[in-house]
Amino acid sequence: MPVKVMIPTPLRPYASKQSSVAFEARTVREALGSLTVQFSELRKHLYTDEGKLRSFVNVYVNDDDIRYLQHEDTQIKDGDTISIIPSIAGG
Amino acid sequence: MVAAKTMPGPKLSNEEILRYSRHLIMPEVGMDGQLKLKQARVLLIGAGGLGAPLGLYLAAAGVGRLGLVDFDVVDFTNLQRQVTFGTSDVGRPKLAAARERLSSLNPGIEIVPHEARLTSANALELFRDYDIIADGTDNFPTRYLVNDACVLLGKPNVYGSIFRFEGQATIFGAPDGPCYRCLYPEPPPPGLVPSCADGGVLGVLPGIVGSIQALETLKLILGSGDLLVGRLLLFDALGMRFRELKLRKNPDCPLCGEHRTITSLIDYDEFCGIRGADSAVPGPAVPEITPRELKARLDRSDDVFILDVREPHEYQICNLNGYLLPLGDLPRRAHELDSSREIVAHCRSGKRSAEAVEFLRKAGFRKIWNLKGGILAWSEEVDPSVPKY
Amino acid sequence: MALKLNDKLASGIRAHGEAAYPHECCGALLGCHTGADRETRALLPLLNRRTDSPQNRFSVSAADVRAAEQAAAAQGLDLIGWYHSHPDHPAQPSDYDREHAWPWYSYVIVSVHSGHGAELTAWRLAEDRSAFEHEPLESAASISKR
Repeated sequence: MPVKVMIPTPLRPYASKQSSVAFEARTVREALGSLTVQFSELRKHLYTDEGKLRSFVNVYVNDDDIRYLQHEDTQIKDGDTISIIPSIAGG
Repeated sequence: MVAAKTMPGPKLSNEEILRYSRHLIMPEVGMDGQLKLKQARVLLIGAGGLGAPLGLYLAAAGVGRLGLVDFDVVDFTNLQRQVTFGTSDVGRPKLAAARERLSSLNPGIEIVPHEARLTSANALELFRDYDIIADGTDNFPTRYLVNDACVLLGKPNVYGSIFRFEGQATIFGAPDGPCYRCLYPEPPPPGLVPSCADGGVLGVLPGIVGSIQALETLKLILGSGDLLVGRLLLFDALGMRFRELKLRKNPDCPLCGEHRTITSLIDYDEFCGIRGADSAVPGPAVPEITPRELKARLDRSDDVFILDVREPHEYQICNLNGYLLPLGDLPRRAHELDSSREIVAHCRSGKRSAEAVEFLRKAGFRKIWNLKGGILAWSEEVDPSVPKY
Repeated sequence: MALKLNDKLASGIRAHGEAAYPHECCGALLGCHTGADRETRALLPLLNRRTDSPQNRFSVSAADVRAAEQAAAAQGLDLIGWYHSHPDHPAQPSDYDREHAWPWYSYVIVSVHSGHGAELTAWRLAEDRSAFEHEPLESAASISKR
């Protein structure tokens, strides 16, 4: 059983309008990697040019923010749900 | 969860055993459960549409102490949904009428009336003596006040709300559950959400939602079943569907989150942007004409064009033979009006027609007035045969 | 593409901006969308989580975004965008706004001059993130239907 990655509304146009996609992956990094390989247009919205996750892209494994776990190295298991939750900022 | 503690002492009399026999014969309640109900103390905020089924079913179930908070008087228009009251109660304080009805249903419980407006000054003191608070109110300042007081005191808030054909129910303020502010950190700007008086409500709807609140309250006391903690139950009365939203505790919630900034009650009217005077027509005052003045002009056979900006179903209730042009259609259909004529716009109470007059003045109409107080005032001051609604 | 925002809601945004002045206010736009057009039906005022520099920065935490999604769903609406204010500054998106923006969402900015809400504009992030595109606002002289 793979993990499910939930796509927030603003990114769905870049993910063939899907609200969630499933992947086999062992870490968050692998899951997001698979996501951006399958939908390359997502990459620029999730990552900076230096390849770091943008500060306002929050990733949750089930109900936990990966910032409080092992960031992208957080291990995931079958049946987990990875959610991409925007935070909004500006000036 | 604050389930009532079973203390030694209180027992059930033979009369109570007979009264509650249908509870006692169920193992899920039994003597233990009924004793928990007897020792429970529940405070109902609001004795109106939601408060009616809440009060009736909790009294019937034998909740030992029921507090009621309401400062209002029974109005004729309440009878369409507030089923604790009778026609002869119109004009009486709601608490007096409710207390009579609930005592008659169950004289064995204690009913404590708190005839006061709930404020930051009295809420904490008032809530302290109760285990569970059931919120049956209809305005934002009170909803935030009840929520905040419950979280600060660590008491569950059994919440219900209704609007037209939709209802919601959930439990806020449970230890690991969300609070109202997790969902709505700030109230909407005033005037954006109509109240029941403006939006209307199907009378039986609060009956259903209030009964659900009573059910959750009983389950909280008995400590059984799955509760609506972290679950927002949504009821669509027309579609006849229940659905659920998962509600998450917001870790950034200023009241119940990890970094709390709210540690005492605040001025909720100010918080909700309501200050002082009633939320009457915002913006600059529009030119007005009173019903008597209008009557005088019509009697003189002045050429006055009466514009009725209400909805078609209201026109059917009563009308002044005005030209019906609902407010929402005004932008599209204003060309039907002759700006060279003298126009008096009216609605039910004068609010919508004031907006219409403001709109038409901006569009260049110079001879236009708002009928002050609407058709209600016309009925009051000029022609009592016109029904009020 | 266009964003419908009636006068009443626009006043609500201005009012929030005035109340938060001299800090930036922020909130969610709830409504519905068909094709490229959107209609705002409700506002969800939120707390500006940037407490260190709130006069020229705002932020909405992920938890508040989740709460806004829940609040939208509870009203049968979608989360279609965000609004924030620029105290004593034009209602034009800054570079900072652009760098932190999400595609798809409508961004409404209101200018608050000396405590008074003034011009209000709407924007959407360009496909390549290079700029914000002006989103036409349909407010007309619409009056809320009751």
